[in-house]
Amino acid sequence: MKVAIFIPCLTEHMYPETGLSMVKVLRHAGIEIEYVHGQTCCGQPAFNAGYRDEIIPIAERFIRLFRGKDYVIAPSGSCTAMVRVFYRELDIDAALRDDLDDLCGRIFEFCEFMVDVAKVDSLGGRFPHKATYHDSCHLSRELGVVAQPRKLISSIADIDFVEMKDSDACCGFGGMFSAKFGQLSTEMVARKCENIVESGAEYVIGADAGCLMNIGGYLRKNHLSPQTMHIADLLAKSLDL
Amino acid sequence: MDKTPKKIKKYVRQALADMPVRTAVANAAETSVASRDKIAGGIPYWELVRRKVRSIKKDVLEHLDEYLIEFESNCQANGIKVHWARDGASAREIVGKIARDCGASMVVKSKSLTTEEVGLNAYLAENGIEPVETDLGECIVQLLGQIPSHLVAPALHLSRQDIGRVFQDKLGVEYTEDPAELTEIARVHLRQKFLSARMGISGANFGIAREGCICVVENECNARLTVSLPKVHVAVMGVEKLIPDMAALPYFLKLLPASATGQKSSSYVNIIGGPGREGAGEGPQEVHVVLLDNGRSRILGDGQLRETLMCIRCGACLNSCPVYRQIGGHAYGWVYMGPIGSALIPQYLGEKEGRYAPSLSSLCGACREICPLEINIPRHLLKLRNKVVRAKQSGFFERIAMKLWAFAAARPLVYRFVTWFPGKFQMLLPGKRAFPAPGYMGRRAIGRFDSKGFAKRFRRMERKND
Amino acid sequence: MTDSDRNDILADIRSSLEIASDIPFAVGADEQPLEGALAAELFDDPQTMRTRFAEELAAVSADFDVLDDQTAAAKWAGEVLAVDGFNTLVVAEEGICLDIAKAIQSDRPDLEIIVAGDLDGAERQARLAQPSAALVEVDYALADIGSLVVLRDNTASMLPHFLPESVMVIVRPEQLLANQFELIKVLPQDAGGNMVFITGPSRTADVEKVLILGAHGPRRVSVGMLESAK
Ligand code: SF4
Repeated sequence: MKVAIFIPCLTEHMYPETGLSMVKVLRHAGIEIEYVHGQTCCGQPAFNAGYRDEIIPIAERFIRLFRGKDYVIAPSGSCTAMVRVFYRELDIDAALRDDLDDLCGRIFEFCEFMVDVAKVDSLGGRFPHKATYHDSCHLSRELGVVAQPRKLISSIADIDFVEMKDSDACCGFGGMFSAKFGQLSTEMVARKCENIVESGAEYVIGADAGCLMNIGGYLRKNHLSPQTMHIADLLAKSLDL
Repeated sequence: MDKTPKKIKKYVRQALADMPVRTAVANAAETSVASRDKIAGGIPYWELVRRKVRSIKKDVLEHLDEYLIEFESNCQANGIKVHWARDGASAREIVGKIARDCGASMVVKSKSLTTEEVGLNAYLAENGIEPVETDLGECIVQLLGQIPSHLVAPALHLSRQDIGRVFQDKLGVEYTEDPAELTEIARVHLRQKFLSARMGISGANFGIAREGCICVVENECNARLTVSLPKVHVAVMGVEKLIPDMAALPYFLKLLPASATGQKSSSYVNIIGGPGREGAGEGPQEVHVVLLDNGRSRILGDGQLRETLMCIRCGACLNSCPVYRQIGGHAYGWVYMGPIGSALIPQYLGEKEGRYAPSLSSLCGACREICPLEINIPRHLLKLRNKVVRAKQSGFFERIAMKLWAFAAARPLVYRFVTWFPGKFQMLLPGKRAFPAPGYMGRRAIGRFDSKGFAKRFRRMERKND
Repeated sequence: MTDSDRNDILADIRSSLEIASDIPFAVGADEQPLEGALAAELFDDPQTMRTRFAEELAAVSADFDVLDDQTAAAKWAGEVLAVDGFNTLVVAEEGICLDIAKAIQSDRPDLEIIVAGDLDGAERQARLAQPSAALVEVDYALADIGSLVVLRDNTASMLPHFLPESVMVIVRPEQLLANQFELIKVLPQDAGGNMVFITGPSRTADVEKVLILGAHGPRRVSVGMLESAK
C-alpha cells in the first residue's frame, strides 16, 4: 500500500516532528510513503475568513497535485475536511469536478486511515502514562472520526486512558477566530483546560495541530502540568520510533 | 436598548468582563443541554423524527407560496382575519390599528420573538398603548428595559437577586429572592392585567395550513390566558412558520419541547382555530394573524441559506454553543442570538450592519449536532462570511493580507519565502518567545516556528535512511 | 396596503423559489422505519398504557388516582380540595362533574359551587380568577407523555381548566390513547383547530432555572381515572 502524505501548514512550520512521526508510524505499519513536492496549504484559513474566490487557484492546484494518488493522508482533521467537505463549496474549474470527487474518496485523516483503511487496530507500542483525548471539531463533527483515535490510543500497552468532561467541546481555536476574538477564544481554551486538568491526565492527545497549539499555549503560559501531544507523536513514541 | 450587531466586538468585551452573567449563562446552558440529552436520548427514533421533520419543513419552504395561500383561505374559513406585512413597519401599523379599533390602551403579550424582531413594544408605547409582557422571563427583561438574552429563557442571564431588586423597584413589592415568591408576585401582578386587557398579542410556533389554525407552545399558561381572556387576539407570525397539516404537528412536538426545555411535552400546547363561538361567553371575539415577511422571501432566494428558515427557535443551538456559553445573548446585539442568530443577523440586517456576526463562531459545529432540524449552521456562517467579503465589508487590512497570502499559497516558491520569514524573525526575539500574534499575547502563547520545517527535516531523514 | 403587501410577498416568494434548494437531504428515505418505530410505541394492553400514563403524570408533577365510581370520585375530590383548603369548586357545566361536586357539598355545606357556563363572560372571568379549585372533564388523555386534551367546542367553558389554582380532571378509561399520533387519527374532522394539550401544572424556570409549579395557571393538577360513571 502506498500513500501520499499532505503536511498542513502548522505541521510544516511549527510541528514538523509530528509529520515525521506520522511517516514513521505509517512505515512501521508497512505502508509506503510518498511526499509530493510543491505542496503548500489547503486554503482553509482564507476560506474560513470568507475569501472563496481567492483560494480557488489553491484548491485547483491541490487537486492537480494529488491527482491519481491511491491515498492522501494528512495528520489533521480540519485540513482533510477542507478538501473533502468544503472544496465542493468552491466554484472550481468544471474540468476538475470529477477529479475532486475522486480525491474526496481518497483523502483521509491519519487515524481514520489507520483504522478504517489500513485496518491497523493495534501497533503494539507501550506508553506508561495517563492520557486523555481532545476531539477536534472538524475531525469529529465533519468527518465523524470519534472512535478511531480512541481505538489507537487504547491499544497502546500500559497507557491509562481517561475521558475528560466534554471531550468534544471546542477548544476555542477556530483559526482566524482565535485572533479576531482573542479574549473570547482564550476564555474558551481556559474552560477546555479546566476539564483537561480535572481529568488528571499527564498528556492530552489530539489529532489537529491547531487545537494542540492553542491548548498547549494556554497550559504552558499558565504553568499547568498536562502536556499536549499529537496522536502520531504518541504512537511513534510508544513504538520507540 | 439601542443595540446593534455593528458593535459586537465591544459587546463581547463587555460580556467577558461580567463574571456573574457569564456564570449564570454557562450554568443555565449546561443544565439545559443535560436535560435535553436525557429526553432526546430516551426517544429511540429521535434521528428518524428529525429527518422526517426536516423533510416536511423543506417541502414547506419549497412550496411556501402555495402553503401560505392554503393557510390564508382556511384561516378565513375559520373566521380568522389574515393580514400580510411586508416589513416591520407595516406589521407594527397593522397591530397598532387593530389595537386602536378595539379601544385597547393596554395589551397583554405572550412571548414572541417575531414581535421583538419588528420592535412592536416600542411602537405601541409611542402610540399610547401599554404593552405588558406576561411570560415571567420577558416580564423581567421588560421591566429592566432590556431585550431577551436567550430565545427560550429571556432572563437567563439574571440572578435571583437581580430579579428581586427589579421587582422591588418597579412593582413596589418587598424584596425577595425566593424563586417561588418571585413567581407568585408576577402571577398576582399580571392576573389583573389579563382580566382588564382588551387585546392579547402572541406569536405562533406553527401555522397549520390545511386546518387553518396556529399553534402556541408554552409552560406558564400565560399564552393560554393571552389568547383566551381578551376580546381580541392578534398573532404575529413569520411566513416561514407553516407546517402542512395537523398530522405533521406531533412530529414537531416531539422535537420542540425536548430541544427547548428538556421536556417530553410543554405544559400547554394551544391550538387556535378561530374566535370563540357566538354566545359561548368566552374566547376572543376576533382573531387576527399577521403574516410577516420582513426579509424572509429574500432569504428564500438563496438555495443554501434558505435552510436557516427551517429554524423552530428552540434555542438548543445556543445552549450547546461554547461561544454563547461565554458571552450570553446580549453580545450579539440583536433579538436573535447564538449560532442561529449569527446566521440570521446578516441576512435580516444586511452585510454591513451584520458583518461581524458570522465571525463570532469557532465553527465547531455543536449547533448543527444538537439542532432538531439539523440546520448546517457552520456551513451557512461560512457562506455569510463570504457574502460579507463580497460586499466589501471585511476589514481593509484583512482583505489585503488574505489576498497576498492566497497569492503566495498558490505558488510554492513564494510561499516558501513568506513562511521562511516569520521563523527567522522569531529568532531575533529574546529568549524562547513566540511570534507576537494577535489574540495570543495575554494568557496564552502561540506555537514557535520551527527553523527548518517539515520538508527539510523529511529530506534529511530520508538521506540518513539511505 | 395589506392587499398589495400580500401580492408583493407572494410574488417575491415565487421568484425566490425559482432558485433550486441546496439543502442536502434524502427525501422520504426514512418513512418506513419511522412508521415502524412509532407502531412499536403502541401499548400491548390497556393496563400497560394506564401504568405508563400514571408514570408520565408523576413525571410532570401531576397526581393520578383510579376511582371506581362517582362516590369514590366525590371522596377523592373532597380530599384534594382539603389539601389546599379551597371553599370554592368550579365546574364547567352540568354533567358528571356537577354531580360529583354536589355529592361533596352534601358533606360540606360550606362549599360554594360555581357553574362557569352559567355566568356571563365578564363575570365568569372575574369569579374564576379568584382562588379556587376546579373539577373538569377532558376529551382525551395521552399515555406516552401524560397529556390531557380539551376540545374547546365540547365544553361550555374552558376557563375552569386554566384559571383556578387546583384543577381536578376526570378521565374515562376509553379516552386514554397511546400518543399524539393516535389522537390525530381519531380527532373528529370538525374539531377545527381549537384545542389544548395540558401536561401537568403550569410551570416556569425563568428564575435561575429553578422549577416552580404554578405560574399563571394551575399549580396543582390531579387526575382521576373514573372507571364507572355510576
Ligand atoms: S437553529 Fe436549530 S437548534 Fe437553533 S434555535 Fe433553530 S431549530 Fe433550534
